[in-house]
Amino acid sequence: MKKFLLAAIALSAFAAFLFWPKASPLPTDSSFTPQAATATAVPTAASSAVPASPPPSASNADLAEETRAAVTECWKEEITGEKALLSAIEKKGAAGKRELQWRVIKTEEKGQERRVRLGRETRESGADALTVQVFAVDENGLPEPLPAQPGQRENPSGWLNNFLRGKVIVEDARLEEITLANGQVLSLESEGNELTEAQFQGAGKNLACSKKGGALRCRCL
Amino acid sequence: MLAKTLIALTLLMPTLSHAAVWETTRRWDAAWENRYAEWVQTNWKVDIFQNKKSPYYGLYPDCADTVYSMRAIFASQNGLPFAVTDPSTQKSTITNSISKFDAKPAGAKRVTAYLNWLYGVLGTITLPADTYPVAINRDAVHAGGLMLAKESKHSYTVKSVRETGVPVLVYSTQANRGDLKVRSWPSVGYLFSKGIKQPSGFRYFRYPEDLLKPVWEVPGYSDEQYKAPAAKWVNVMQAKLANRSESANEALRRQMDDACQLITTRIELVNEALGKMKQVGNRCFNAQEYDDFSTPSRDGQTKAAFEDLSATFKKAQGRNEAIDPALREQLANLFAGSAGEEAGAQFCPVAYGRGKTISIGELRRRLYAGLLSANPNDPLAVRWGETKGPSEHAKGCPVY
Repeated sequence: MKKFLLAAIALSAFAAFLFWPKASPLPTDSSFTPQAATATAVPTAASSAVPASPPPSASNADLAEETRAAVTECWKEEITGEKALLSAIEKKGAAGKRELQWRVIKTEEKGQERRVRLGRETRESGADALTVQVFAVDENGLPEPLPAQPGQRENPSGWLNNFLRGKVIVEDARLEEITLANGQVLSLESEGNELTEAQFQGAGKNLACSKKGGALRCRCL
Repeated sequence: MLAKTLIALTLLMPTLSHAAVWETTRRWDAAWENRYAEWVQTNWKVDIFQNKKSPYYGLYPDCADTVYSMRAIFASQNGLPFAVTDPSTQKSTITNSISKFDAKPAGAKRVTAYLNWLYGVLGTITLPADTYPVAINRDAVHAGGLMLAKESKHSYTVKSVRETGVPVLVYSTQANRGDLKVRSWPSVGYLFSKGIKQPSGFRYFRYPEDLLKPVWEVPGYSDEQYKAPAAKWVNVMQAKLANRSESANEALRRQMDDACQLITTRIELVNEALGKMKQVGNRCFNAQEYDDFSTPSRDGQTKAAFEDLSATFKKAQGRNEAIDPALREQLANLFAGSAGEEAGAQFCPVAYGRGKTISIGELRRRLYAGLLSANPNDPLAVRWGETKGPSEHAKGCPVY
């Protein structure tokens, strides 16, 4: 019986060794490979307080009936195609004052995945400041905040440009807020070159659209 | 028998090595939301992170961490799910099912380790992705929700909503020492300095299945609160949440308590800055320390609180509303033009140092005369306006 138990324990330990999650430089469930890179240049927007929004890319698919109705209700105009609607949203936001809300960049440093999150925060002094947070990624794909490096807080744009120089940008998503001349605020979320979400805010009815998890759909809120 | 035992053990080992922070055994629904709201009203106490008997003693949450902690602690105690958007990707989630902390003993110790890690990942800036703006009524705004003020980088937990429509907000201060404070409406001029717009205002937690969705697709989403003009926002919200109107005495006492609490917290902050200065050998504060210990925004809030109080006082007097004589005296002293004009009942004496106590009226006069220094590199006397700053030491230090 004792032998059986010892054998069981030994085999279990061996099984645990086989199944135990191992630290790997890159998570296996992610598309993070140098081949998956979509850009190699340091994003110029990182050095700017107001990064430009990427142009929308879209198919010319017809909009669903509810979405067309929502656009007509909110804008009093008839738009039937996805591409036309995304262009119209971009056009409305073109002349406004842009402000980055957050930006998430996935990159690599010495074979290890790194995630960078840019944000804006109001300091105690009332000044608006860009913040940069860098995360390592553990074996389960979870973020591990890395301690701030010298200059990261004092000169976030400059620090980030240095950090990203020569690195492969695997993913790049952002949320921007655009204050329009009529007082409306347009929130634009994009991933790479594709617009994924847009929401107008202001008095009266406001259009909100999303491509997340499927076809472009809108509501007149 | 042996083969079965071995297979069972082999299958069990990897499972054991992947223990969740806590097991999810239930789902959020209306009944659990009610129990959560009751728990917040009775158990969400200001000493939860400071009381040595509390299992969460020793955590140092900032304001947003406090908001997340309130939901996570209740969820952990009841086998409910807790999930947030991973701010490092914006397209995946972090839940209580992760095995990152399985080396810690199950229970409060593991939950504490999880929260400590979350504090480094989450912040006020991540709250919009994990919450949604609600309609303004007592069914939607209640204990367990939150108020977010994006421009001022602040967030508050809603402990309860009084019959008068005034929320009781529990929050962590700038110093992040784990001591929570209570207040009612923060001054709108401070809260929504750039106007009321999303994501600021009253919000509630998304269910795990509603994370990563556009906010307007989250059940319960409402932009009702953004239709009220910023200048009237508090009045409109309070009227919608009230079961009865607030008397002048109640409003005045509430606003006096708020102003007093802002000043009391300033005393703690200034003392903490002085302690830190000693600790770092009187060197100039770096950018992070300067942001942590300076008080320009707090001083602005205090000014706004005095202005709100003055407006309420004038309005009550203008309407000939009955004001408690003691209150009337205290307020007359607060708004007195000089120390010589102060007489009778006082409130909130400002004891900012050993043997250094001034009346709140004197503090107000120093604040409006621009004598209070918000610069953490200044000594006590300059911080409290005994002499005009900046001090020689502060003059030699950078201002961030």
